[in-house]
Amino acid sequence: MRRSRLFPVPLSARLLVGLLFAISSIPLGAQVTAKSGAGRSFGPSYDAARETTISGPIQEVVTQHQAGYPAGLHLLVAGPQGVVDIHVGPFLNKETIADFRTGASVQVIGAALSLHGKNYFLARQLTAGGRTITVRSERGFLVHQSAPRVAGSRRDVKSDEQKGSEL
Amino acid sequence: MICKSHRSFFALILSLFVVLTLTILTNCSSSNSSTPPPVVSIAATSGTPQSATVGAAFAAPLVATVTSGGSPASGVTVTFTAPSNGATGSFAGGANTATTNSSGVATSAVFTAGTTAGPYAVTASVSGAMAPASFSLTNNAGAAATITPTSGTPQGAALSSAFTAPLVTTVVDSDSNPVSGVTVTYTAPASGASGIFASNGTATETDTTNASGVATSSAFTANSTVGSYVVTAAVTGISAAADFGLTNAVTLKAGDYTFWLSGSDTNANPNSSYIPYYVAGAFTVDGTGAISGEQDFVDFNYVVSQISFTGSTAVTPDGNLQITLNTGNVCIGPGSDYTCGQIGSTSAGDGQEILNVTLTSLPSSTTSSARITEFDSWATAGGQLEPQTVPATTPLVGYAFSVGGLDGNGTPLGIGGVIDVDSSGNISGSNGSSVFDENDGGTLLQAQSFSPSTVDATPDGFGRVTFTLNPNAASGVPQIVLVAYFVNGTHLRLVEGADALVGTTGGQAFAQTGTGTFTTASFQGSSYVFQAGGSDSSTNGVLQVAGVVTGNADGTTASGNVSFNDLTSFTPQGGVAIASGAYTVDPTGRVTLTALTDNATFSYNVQLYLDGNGNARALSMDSSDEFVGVSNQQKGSLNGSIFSGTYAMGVIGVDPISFNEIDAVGPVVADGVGSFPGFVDLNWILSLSPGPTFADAPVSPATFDATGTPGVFTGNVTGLDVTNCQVYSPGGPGCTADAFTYYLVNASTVVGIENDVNQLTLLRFELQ
Repeated sequence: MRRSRLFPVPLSARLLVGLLFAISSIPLGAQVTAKSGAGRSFGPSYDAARETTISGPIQEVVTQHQAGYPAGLHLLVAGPQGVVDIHVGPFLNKETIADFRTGASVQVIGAALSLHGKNYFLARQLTAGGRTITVRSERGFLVHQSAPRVAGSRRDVKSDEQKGSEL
Repeated sequence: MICKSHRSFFALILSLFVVLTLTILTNCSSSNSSTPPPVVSIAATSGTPQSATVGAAFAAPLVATVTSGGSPASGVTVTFTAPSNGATGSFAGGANTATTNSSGVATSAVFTAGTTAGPYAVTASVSGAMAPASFSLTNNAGAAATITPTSGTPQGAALSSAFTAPLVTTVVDSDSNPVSGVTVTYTAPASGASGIFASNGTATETDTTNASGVATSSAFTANSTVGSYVVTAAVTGISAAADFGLTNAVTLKAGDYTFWLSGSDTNANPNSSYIPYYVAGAFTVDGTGAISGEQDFVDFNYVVSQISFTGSTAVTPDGNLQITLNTGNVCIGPGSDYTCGQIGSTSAGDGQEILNVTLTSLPSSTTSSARITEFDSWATAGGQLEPQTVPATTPLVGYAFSVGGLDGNGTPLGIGGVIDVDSSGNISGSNGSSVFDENDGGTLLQAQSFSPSTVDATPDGFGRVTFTLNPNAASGVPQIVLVAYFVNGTHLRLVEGADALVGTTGGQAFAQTGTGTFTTASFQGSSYVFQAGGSDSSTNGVLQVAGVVTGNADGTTASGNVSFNDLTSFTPQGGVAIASGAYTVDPTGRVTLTALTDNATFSYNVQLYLDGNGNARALSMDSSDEFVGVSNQQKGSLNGSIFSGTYAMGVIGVDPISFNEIDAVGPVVADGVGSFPGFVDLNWILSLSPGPTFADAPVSPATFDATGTPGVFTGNVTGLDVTNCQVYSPGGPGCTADAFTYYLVNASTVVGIENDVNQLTLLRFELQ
């Protein structure tokens, strides 16, 4: 039981330890540490003021999650300053995830975050294969990606339309 | 030289010789077939049929007689052969042959029954015999040694109703052979929660095991006392009885109810995680448990408005209740998908929603209330069921509200405020008592007004009204439609309807007392416990918060204690004290709390919307977090010792692997000293684990420090950790004792939050 004032989440991703160690040793151009004190809400968070862009080929698509490792998809991208762990998050649908392939070039707009001694680059927007994917809102909130929706409208399934194939 | 006549003579002599030779040979052959060899046969002449108890020697040896040509054949070896498996036996010393005596009789060695009961044949064979002899033997089961419950446990039934299944036991001997003809005595408690058997109308019944060792009770009917108990099934001579765990439960009392759920369904495309949905509705249940009602449903892909449904109630085996709602809507239930509403939709939902229910109402109450969780394979959710009293007309007061969920882009969204329905029934905004705030993914709008807006003057037959809210044009917020179901004249359950906002949101509203007249004194000196879920801009996109915030007596500063967890970081068990903060109170009842901080790990802003009766809705107003929840004023003693009694425990969580929702509900019994064991029905259908996604699992041990800081105390809960508990994750290390902080509202309501990395978990305890 930890009793420090603010607990870091322990990293138990043994399979990724070596890789993370290697990544963490590579300085990022936009590396920052978590903010502290007033102005911060709950724990380390996305800092839109520190946004940068990273481009490079995808070296690995990491989908296997381990407790303590930031949630969801990660892309290991070879940038000018070394391999960067791009955190993409848990809310992309499988179709989108399947589009990420090793060797493909990707451009990522996001912000770096140091978390428990490890460096991550939190993606806000990804561009790959001519397709742009919004991962986070401008304030850094992860966006839930679901079915395609028609902007400004939503299907309203009225009670008198139940059981119909065209609702 | 031989003449022709002489050649004919020699030919004749040769022919005669050949004929004579063949004749002799033929005669010789005929002479052999007329003296056949003697026929050898073998017959069982003693020792069949017979039986012996498993493991015991048969009383008589197996005796076979061998004859040859009808005469005893002596000195012949006879081989006895028993089955190689199943019911069988063995010969003493392994000797399975015997030699016939002068009478042709072969007698086996002592034959002993094996450990498996049942009939079988032992054969005796001898060389030359056309067929073996057969001995019919039977191994009889031994004495009854064990009785076990076969079916009928655990079970629940409504008071004074028959349990669905009879109580069935199986009696076996020490070798696990079923024992027939054994008298089994079923005994239910003589007093308290119990029941009676149909055969004799008493709490005791005897039944006899059949050939399979099975004894089946007559129908068992619950008496009128609520509770769990054990019916024993005993056999004379067997020390350990079979126990049947039964529960007599109160079902929903006839009447009108509202219900509300927030959760995640499986309609994402394809299987994206954590897609929220909200349901609000109302129904009537009659004296037979039959249900009819109306509900509104919203998820990220579609809105289902004002659909009618029927339903039924039942008691689950663990004593919870279960409500099955049949909407008939293809957008709901297993089989539905995100295409619902599109041309060419493939959605084919069965329209069914299954809700598991733990009552918070006393058995003697004329109405029911409960914590509920959706417990089907299509969606998981948590919420509440409350008795409904619909006002004749929509009360002309202010409504403190907040709703949370996602906006149309899938970004976390929270909206809160006060909707003032003026004396004309309009929401004009001109009276200054309507106000709203919005937190859309960290983009904040505060103290916004509504342009002329409306609400239905009269609720429909199920207490449903629609608020059509038009935010002021400058705010840029599109029209918001909130469908509301009245719980009563002061409390409404909300779900977003079809609107231009296209959010996926739900929440609650409280009708205010003193609309437009709130002052600093309305919050000054009072403490509100809050509990909320949402999101932040950290790595995981999930956030749970709980705490207590106090408006200090100075009228300007705030204090309290807060716990949060986003699975990236979390506060320690016991929470963190709010070292400084400030508050103001608008006449609308809108409390603005700013810069609440411990000066080290957090700083946050939050709005509370007071109802003037000790309830409030909460909405965070930070650029890096968004949460929406409920808040209740602390009242009465705040010592942990008042956490005592039977509580319905509602659970909403997020697992740390797939980051998907967990919901559970179940009863726990708090002793006021430090323990509250119980069980939950838990739904983790969005799990990536191969284990069961539904489970009825114990929550034990569950502890709390009754002597801790008044109003804020700590403890551990074992049994909710889905990624470690083996019931949910086979092969896992086992349930852990997760760290929790509890915030006491009053003796009837306690909230809890998990303070570790194992999982996000919010608890809400409501006293029965």
